[in-house]
Amino acid sequence: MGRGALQAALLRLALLAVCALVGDRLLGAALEAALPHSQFRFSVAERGGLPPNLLMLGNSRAVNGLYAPELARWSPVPVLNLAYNGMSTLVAEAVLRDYLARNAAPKLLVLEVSNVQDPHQLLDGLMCYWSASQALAQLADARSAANRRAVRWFHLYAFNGEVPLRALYFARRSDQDWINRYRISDALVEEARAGPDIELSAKPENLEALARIAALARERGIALRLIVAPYLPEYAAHVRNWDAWIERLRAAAGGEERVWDYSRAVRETAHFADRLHLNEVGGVPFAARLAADGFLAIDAPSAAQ
Amino acid sequence: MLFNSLAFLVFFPTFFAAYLATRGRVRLWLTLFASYFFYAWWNWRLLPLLWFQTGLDFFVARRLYGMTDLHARRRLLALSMGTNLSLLGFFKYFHFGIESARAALHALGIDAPDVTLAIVLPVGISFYTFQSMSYVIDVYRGEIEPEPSLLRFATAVALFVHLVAGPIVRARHLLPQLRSDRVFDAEVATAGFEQALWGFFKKVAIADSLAPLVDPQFAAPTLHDGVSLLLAVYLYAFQIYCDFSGYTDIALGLAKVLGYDLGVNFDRPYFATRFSDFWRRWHISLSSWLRDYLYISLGGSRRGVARTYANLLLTMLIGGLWHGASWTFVAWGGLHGLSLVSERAFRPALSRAVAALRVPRWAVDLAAGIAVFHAVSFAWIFFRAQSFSAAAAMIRGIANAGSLSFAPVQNKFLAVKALALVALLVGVEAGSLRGLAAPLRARPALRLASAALVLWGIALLGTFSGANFIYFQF
Repeated sequence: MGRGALQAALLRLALLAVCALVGDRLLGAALEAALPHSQFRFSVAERGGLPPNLLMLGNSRAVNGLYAPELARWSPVPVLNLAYNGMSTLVAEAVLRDYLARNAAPKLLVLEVSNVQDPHQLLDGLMCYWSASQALAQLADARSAANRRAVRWFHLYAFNGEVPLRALYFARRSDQDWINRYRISDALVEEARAGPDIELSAKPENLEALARIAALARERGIALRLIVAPYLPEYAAHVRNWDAWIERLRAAAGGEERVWDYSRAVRETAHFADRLHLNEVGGVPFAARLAADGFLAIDAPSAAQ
Repeated sequence: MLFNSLAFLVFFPTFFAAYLATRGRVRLWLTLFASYFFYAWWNWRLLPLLWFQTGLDFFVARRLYGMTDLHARRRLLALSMGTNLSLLGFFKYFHFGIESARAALHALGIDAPDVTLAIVLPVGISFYTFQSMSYVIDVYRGEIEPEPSLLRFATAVALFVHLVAGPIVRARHLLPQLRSDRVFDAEVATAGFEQALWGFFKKVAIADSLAPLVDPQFAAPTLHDGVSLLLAVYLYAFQIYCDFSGYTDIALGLAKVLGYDLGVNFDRPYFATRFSDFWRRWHISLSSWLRDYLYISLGGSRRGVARTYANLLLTMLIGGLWHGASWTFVAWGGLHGLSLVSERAFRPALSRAVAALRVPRWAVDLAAGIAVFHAVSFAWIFFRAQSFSAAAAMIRGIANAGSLSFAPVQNKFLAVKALALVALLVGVEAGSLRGLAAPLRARPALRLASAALVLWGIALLGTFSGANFIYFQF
């Protein structure tokens, strides 16, 4: 082996490392600068300066069950759906804290509470917002240390995933009309009908986060609505512990908040995209129903169930 | 140990530094020890099996050499083949054989008892068994002389870069390279590093990004719409290609860094315009193995048309079974066998018709390429599906697709990302096919920029779930 050959190879490797690192920093900085200008929900929240509004948090069931354009028709204040697929209560709490650090406190906070069952993968999905969001960063320090280190080393890695793609796609237009636009298939309905019995669960850390969200809402004078969005009736029929589960959520939230249980409120199969999610056809009348029920009334007392 | 794991990121540089610092037998011992360590990282209990097969074939080959008694030679060859295939059969096909026999007996009205053993499939057994067998066959045929050094032969069999998922490197190709110290060449090592980097990109950025749009659809076809199923079939064609060729590129690239040339295992297979062309481009080390040691042994094309067709079909059926212990793999091989037979049977007439109609060459190639890709993709359904009923459900679902609307496709962002990555891959391969890679390689700055681009691509698009390589199961 020639020593010169090895030195040449090492030099090339070093050059590549420098080139990769410089590019990583430059491209990372460019993406980081572009991110707050997007009309994507998390970018809008990060940009800050939003007025008191109706803010919605939760997982994909809140994304599709709380259809923002329709709710905006009935709401006396602007509406922002900040829910996202897989958003657990723990992640929702961090998103809320970061939201409150930059924006006026919402008049009404709606939390779709079936996310107490969710794991916290969305925390990693939101890596591109970690650098600008203190609460998310703190949660990442505690729960995603490896990725936290990785984004410090490789800035571009923060933009790995679906969320940055959405932020790019919604660079110039709002994503608030995001909802499933297809109907559940007969096969899925049949599968739900024939499915096994289900016990709804809740992760302890999500229940604790729910308690902190309720306390934070009280502390900041924000009206809080806890809601369980509709499930496909064929699926809901298999759930064996509705009442106990709802009671558990109500207790976790401090026992003062009513849980608005719409889990079995929609009977039409055509209103669902799958067993867990409403679609556009179902989202419109459901928004009207919420309005009719006084769910959106900001001054209405949030009576205990 | 996976190539895409943190452990390997520590293992390889450590090994490489020691490799460069050693010479001769010490380097061979180091390479052998590192290769066994690499294998033992997964399951050390199965190392003795590798040692046994290595030792058996080493000593059988030495005995074969110079032996003149034809019957004794055949007995010795049969001993090696029988032992290797029995071990492969036991570890890989035992339950498949039992289940198939039980099903056959059940069809005859006989209920046989269920026999279940807790058998762990030794990773790489299909690869190193074929590699070791080819060495004995080559010695038997008098094509190579037996290797006098057990250390060198064991290193050739176990070299970690190809041990667990190929390529199936022939002893005649690798052993001579182990007879002298490989000289480090910066140019070759750089090319190897770039190849490994591209392979890593294909695995973590393309193959693993396609998985979420493929796995759920194949797992439960009846729960998905036709367009999603069709998309899953097309994407699986690229997932398995990027997964396996990505692994191969990492293996071949790292081998180059060490100074070894292990040949070529994939050559842009989806640009094939004939089925035979596809098999000259896909998993070349296996297809050439099957050709040299099975198809030709059966008589190849030397014994008439009917026998040629039968040989082709049988070779592909066994090739299918090599991939896994399931009739769906046999069906996959059978479909490819039928495609090859059809090509041989109808190609002359088709060529005459095309010539008579004066269809431009490029149009013929384009149409043939599209047809071959679709036939190959169709066959992948059987390769990927868990059962014939699942494969049938996939095909039914696609056939019953009401419209080509993408509305029901879940997570369109992932779908768009997947399609963009596939387009990137096709673009890169089309570029290299048209000779665009050579000028790029001639300019150091462009090479550097390309490598940096791949690294950025890995950071931005990679999936770092530590997903296994698909071919590990084979």
